[in-house]
Amino acid sequence: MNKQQLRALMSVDLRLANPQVTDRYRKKGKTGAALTKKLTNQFVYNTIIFILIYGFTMFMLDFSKMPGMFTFYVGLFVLLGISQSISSIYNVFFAGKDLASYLPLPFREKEIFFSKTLIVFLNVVPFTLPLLLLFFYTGWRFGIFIPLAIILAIVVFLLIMALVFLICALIVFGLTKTKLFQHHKNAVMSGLMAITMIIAVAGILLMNGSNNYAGAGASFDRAPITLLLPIYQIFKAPISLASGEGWLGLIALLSLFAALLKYQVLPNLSEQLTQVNTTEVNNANPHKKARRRQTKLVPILDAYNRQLLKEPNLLLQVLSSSIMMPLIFILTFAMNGSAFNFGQLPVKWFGVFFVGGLVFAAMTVNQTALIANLISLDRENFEFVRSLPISMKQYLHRKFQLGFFFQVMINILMLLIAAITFKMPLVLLASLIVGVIWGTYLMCLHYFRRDYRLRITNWTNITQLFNRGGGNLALVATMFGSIIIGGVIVAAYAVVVGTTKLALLANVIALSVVLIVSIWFWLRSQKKFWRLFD
Amino acid sequence: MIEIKDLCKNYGDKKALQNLTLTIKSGEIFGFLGHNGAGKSTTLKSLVSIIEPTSGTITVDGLDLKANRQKIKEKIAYVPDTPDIFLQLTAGEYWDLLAAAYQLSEDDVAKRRHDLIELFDMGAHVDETMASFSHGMRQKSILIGALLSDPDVWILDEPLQGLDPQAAHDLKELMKAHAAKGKTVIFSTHVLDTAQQLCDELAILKKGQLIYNGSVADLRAQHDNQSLEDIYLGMAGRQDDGHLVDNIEGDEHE
Repeated sequence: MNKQQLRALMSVDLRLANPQVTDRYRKKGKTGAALTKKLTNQFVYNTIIFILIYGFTMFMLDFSKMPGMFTFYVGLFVLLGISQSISSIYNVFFAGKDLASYLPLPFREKEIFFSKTLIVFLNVVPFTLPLLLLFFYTGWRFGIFIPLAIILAIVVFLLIMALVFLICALIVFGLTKTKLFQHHKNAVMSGLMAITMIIAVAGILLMNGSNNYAGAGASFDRAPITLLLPIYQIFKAPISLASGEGWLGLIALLSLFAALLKYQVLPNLSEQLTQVNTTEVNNANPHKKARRRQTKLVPILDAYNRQLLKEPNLLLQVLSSSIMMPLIFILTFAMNGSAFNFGQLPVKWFGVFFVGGLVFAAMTVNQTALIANLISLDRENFEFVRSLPISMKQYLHRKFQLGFFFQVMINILMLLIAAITFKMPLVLLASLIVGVIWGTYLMCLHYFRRDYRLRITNWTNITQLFNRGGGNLALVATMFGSIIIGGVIVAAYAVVVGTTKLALLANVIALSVVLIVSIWFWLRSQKKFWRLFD
Repeated sequence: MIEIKDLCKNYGDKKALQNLTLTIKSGEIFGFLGHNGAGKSTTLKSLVSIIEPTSGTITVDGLDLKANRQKIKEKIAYVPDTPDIFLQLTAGEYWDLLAAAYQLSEDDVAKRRHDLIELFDMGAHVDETMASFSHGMRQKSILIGALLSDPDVWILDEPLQGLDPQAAHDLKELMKAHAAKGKTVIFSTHVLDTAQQLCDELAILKKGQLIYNGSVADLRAQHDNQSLEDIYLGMAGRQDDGHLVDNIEGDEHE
């Protein structure tokens, strides 16, 4: 393998694997070798941060007496590894769409694939390296001679990493062989990334939820995950009959997956991936029935806008900020046994629930929401549409309606789950839903206008859109700001309603404030945005 | 020398190329002419290993392309018909990638790269991402990248599209100079004037079949020195006497 070529390919792949970080450094003027160095350093920083955080926590625990905690951490990092691995494979092998561009260049196929695999591996390592520490601590606490404990930890870590990578490679590359993937690449990839994320979060929640601590002994431990106990046995007694199950299990699974990959997936993989990279231009299916010709503008616009939504990273972000985050909140409250029971609350609480709905909308609609990127998703089409003799107001209005509908449906669904979980009375639920609809509408007005103001139509990676304005810092500040400020407002309002006799007055004042702010906000949005297109 | 023999490419039932056989000599500028879908790009993409032909052979300097892909790729540089590749990279990073692909050392490439950047007036854009470029600037970036290795065979698919008149003129001069060094330049075009100006030999394709292969002078001599446009439309064009245009625009345009 030629080192110069491999280095050049890895530089490209580093940029593809980390579009957000690349974009951030580019804004600071970093390019070429300086950018590559910065991106490489990012891995080192991530690794150090993860090791420091988890290393310190793990150092305090004696895993030789805590098989439950040991298996919990193994499960946690394996899930994180799988989730990170699948999104990295997507970014490096698919999102960049560069495989076909390499064909005329004198790179060898194995160099291209090796560099990509290496970058995926590098992306996953920081999230899984604490496993290495866990294995070393456990072996050491069991009294294994330190150099041997290090070697043992490295061997088991590499086996598990290989297993994680093989599982992900089998899933993703196996999927590329299916007709479904070849015709609906983005939709399948979105689904896969969403499922992985849901499994990772659900897995972590489930593990967290299994609070039946095995506290019979002196140590404070949780119930072990049976499936992962053989790995614990490897460190308890590396060369024994008991650990044989762990060794055999790991090696057998590795061999099985490696064989599957070699014989079922690898043959013709490069041709398939290259084809998938270029299917956008060749995926016309001659057997598909011709779509009925539309001549009315609105249905055509709707169909077009729906096509824009098939962007895996966008859907993943929508899933994470609008669905997963609220779901985690709800499930965490419910699982910890401290679930609120709203069943007995009287009607006077309707104002609190209405404001709660507004706050919920402010938490879930942010710069990564669909509505906040819908105009930029048009890319160059947006400028082209401006040249057409159609009303821009109508065009944008239709787009807004779609984005708002999508967002409000997600928010209502989340609140219905919360209502069932916390046994909410119907009146309060109705108030909450009205609040969330109104809040979502206002937030959508704001973020839709923001998208127009900061629109980028020549983006190459969706994360460029998420980073507009203040970037990640602004996103985190907005999210936490809305949680904290919203939380304080709702809590203060609830205290007044719950503990004083001023409920009616508080409700009137609160609703008046909401009404005044809403009218001001709506008028401002009309003046600063919608009237521009009259 | 490049020899193409019985080259066929099918996309399902559609025959994009049918038994294409021709020879392209070293040191000549060879042009492919034809309507959209005639098979020009398919031929060029087969030459640069983007497309695997259904049947037939391609040999470059006596080496079979299929058996010596890597070695032959090192001799060839390609400029695609749409310059929308590696958009995530800056122009400078793209040229670094190309330099590494052709295993060029920093010393080999520095002066040539500098001269090409000057020629195409790209000095101010080296650190900008290709995504932010106009079509013409992307095209210029790719042209610079292709010429970094001073390739033995330079293949260009519709290279003049999107270029400003100065850049288009410079590119044509570069193509002539490249061929004058004994290297091969192969390109496709819709612009008949360009073909007439540049080509030592040309091939006219129609629906995947070769309908003419030879020099422009021979072609004109065979057709009583008519203009290349008249000859080309007579051979490859639609025989409708302008009725379709009349149907659309009415008779006023006459």
